[in-house]
Amino acid sequence: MISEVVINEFVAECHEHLNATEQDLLAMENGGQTANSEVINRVFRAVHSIKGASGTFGFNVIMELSHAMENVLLLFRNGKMAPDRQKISILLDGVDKLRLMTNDVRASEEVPCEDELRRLNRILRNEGASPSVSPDIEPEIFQTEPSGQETVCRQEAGTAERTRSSGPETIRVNVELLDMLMNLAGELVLSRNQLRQFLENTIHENPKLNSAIQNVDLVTSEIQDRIMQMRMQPLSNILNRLMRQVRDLADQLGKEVSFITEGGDVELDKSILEGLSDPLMHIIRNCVDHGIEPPQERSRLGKPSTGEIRFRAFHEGGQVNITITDDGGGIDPEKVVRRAMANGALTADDARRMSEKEKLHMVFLPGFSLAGAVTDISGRGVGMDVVKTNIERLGGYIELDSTVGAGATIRIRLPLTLAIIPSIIVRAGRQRFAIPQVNVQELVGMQPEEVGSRIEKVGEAPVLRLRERLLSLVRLADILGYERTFVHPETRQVEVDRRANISDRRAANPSASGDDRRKNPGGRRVRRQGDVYVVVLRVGENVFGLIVDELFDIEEIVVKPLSGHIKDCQCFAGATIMGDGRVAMILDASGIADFAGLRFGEVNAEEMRRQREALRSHGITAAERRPVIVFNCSPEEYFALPLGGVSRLERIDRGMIETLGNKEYITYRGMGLPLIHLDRFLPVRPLPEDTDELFVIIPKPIDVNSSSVGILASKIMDTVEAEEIIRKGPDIAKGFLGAAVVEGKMTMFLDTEELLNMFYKEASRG
Amino acid sequence: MKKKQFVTFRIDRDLLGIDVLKVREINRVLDITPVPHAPDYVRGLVNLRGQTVTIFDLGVRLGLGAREITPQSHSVVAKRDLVGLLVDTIGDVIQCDEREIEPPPANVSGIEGRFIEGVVKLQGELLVILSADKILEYNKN
Repeated sequence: MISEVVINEFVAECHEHLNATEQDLLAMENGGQTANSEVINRVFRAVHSIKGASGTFGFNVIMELSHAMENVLLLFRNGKMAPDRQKISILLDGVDKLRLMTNDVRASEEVPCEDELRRLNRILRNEGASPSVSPDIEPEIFQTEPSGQETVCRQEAGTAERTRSSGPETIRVNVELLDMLMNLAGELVLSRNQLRQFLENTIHENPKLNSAIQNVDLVTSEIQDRIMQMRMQPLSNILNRLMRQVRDLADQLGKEVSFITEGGDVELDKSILEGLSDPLMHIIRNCVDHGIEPPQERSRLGKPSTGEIRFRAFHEGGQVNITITDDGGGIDPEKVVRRAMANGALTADDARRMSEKEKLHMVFLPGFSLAGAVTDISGRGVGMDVVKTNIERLGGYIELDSTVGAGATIRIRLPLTLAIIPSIIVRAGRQRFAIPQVNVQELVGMQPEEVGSRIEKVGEAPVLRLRERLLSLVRLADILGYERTFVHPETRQVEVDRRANISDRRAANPSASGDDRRKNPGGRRVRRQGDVYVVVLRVGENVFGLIVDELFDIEEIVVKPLSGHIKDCQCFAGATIMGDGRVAMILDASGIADFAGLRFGEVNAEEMRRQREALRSHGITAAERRPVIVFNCSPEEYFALPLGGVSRLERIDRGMIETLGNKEYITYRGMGLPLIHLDRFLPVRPLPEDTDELFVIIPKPIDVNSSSVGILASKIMDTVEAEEIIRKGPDIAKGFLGAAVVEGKMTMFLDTEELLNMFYKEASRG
Repeated sequence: MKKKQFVTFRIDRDLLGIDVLKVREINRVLDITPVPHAPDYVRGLVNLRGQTVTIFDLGVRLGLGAREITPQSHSVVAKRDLVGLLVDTIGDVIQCDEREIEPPPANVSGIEGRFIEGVVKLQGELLVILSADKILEYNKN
């Protein structure tokens, strides 16, 4: 009996070979006739190794199948036959079968593969020159070839061995071992910190000590980085599988789809990568099945018959961003709403209040399906909600955008690693807590004087007014059953806060200042208050404010799991060890919201009511208002565009602008995007010269056939609800719809269509 | 004849013991971070060389009342589950013959019966042998 360890090694190696082979086969297919001989050799060698090893271990069926595949590959290599789509398909099926067999290698004999063998052998038979090959023939097949070729074969087998030994040397390591190493490295950091503390006083007496400590510092962080790196794997590991899926699905559905990937070298923690595979598969499946139209329909619509799915991954702000864009039919938000209403998930009243994006995001609801009919491939309604849950479980965030007729874009943001997460450290009572930064939307600090005007009550619950929104407020100390504390502004000491309610003071005296409170009829000595800190937390679609007693820095923390005895405390997601060696609990935003029994609906309804009221007082009804995006080119000149008419906003560097003749471009999604300076078409001031950071607003194209352009802006102010049509007087220039006062600023509303027509006219002139 | 060894410690006056094979280490790492909303017997978490250990107040767990942390307090860390048991003082390792272990009397000084494996009569004193597995068991209620 061969030992389990050796077998496992064999299986792992087979999987590696099979993954590489799959990728290479797809590359060969795309290369067509001119398939690179190096790729063919690589595939050949991989399959050959599988054959050899399986023979050694006596896995005869695996050997038989890999042998038949090898024979076909040999024909490619000798140039007797060109790899075409059909043959590659047969080989890919072989790869799948081999994968299936090696998954449970001891039962590999029971996996039927007659069909694959028959098809492989048919290729061989069709190639008249080849000897009759039957799977029973031993690997000595080469010897039946003409002698000249035999030597070639031998030589190359030799090269294969050499290449392997000269390649990067790798060794398989158990992930558990890496985790342990990670732990120890963390411990090393703590010991280093302690050492430094102890030595601080004596350090000036012995200058050599200083450099020694610095050295320890460096090495320690280096070790930590390296261990992190060991857990990182490139996205290309799952991209291959996606590529294969696109190909197979497109075949099955009779569609033509090209899958373009960018950023396959972006690396993610192994565990995140594993958790990402299924959601991405699902998204891609949706793109091919529902997004991309059949070729005839595409031609009819004036689109290229081959649909396009673009996968792009890139780093941004310590996170990994993935965008998946297809140029298919897109998702109609109204259709989503109709379906949701039919399912009873939405009332007509709700629907009216929703923004386009909110409507689109209904597809993330459990059980939601847009597909007309349940097919083999999708439409069972178990889908996007699972995708969303999975992405969120990885600490990520998913978003959907779509233009009807032009396609859809899915954006995913993910942390680099689950092992170390940037977190905001806060205090409640006398304890510190960590809040993962992905859950934090923003931090709000309020002076005691401001509190009264910004915090109020809806029913019994305190809410914070933050810009146009109302946020439910929860006090962390109350949730945890601690005494509330604050930092005394003069002594910097942590003191107990005795106010019963955060908005108490306002109720007693609406314009209370510190001095007024001393005359409090209660007679109790009222101490000065500390500042109030609110951490605005995101829970799915909802947002609430968590009042903490003190805010500290952002720290990178290592997440430790909780023991079973405390797992049921819903407020915590885990524990971590702080720089001083003490344990701190990691807060779970959604757990806190549940524990506090926050009723988001109530607060949202109040928010709506107030907005409507505000509108009524201006003599406008809600139906006339639309979200607009407000921006400026030169400071003090404000422009607005309806948000619904904007497909993308991009932040760019001035350096990214390329000039061609008198036109300017940026490279956007691999294509040149012409840019519009508003001052060239409209009577407005030019962009300031001195800003490096610019924004490009990409309006939705006027019709499917027109190309995209970008409007340059220097600053995006905000998106606000504003009445859409405003004053259009004789003084309003061409290219503007009119003007209105938005947030106290005179704002010009652009007429996108007219502006774009002006641009196209000029472009066609030269 | 099979010998057994027990780590012994005290809660108040009671002499208690746990099979030495179930114990990972005994230490004084008692810089405890409390965990709000945890079961009452969970005192909190400590950092034991980079791993978080859940500290149980053994007094509360056994029904003998909460412990106070004194210079004599120790944590008996179990091999399973990374749980430390907070005890008042630590005693010797006691070895005895398996046959000397008697079934527990009906009620041993207020300790909940389900945690007791048996008792050993020592000179002038009774050693109560606790079941580490029962103590570490989590019953969701």
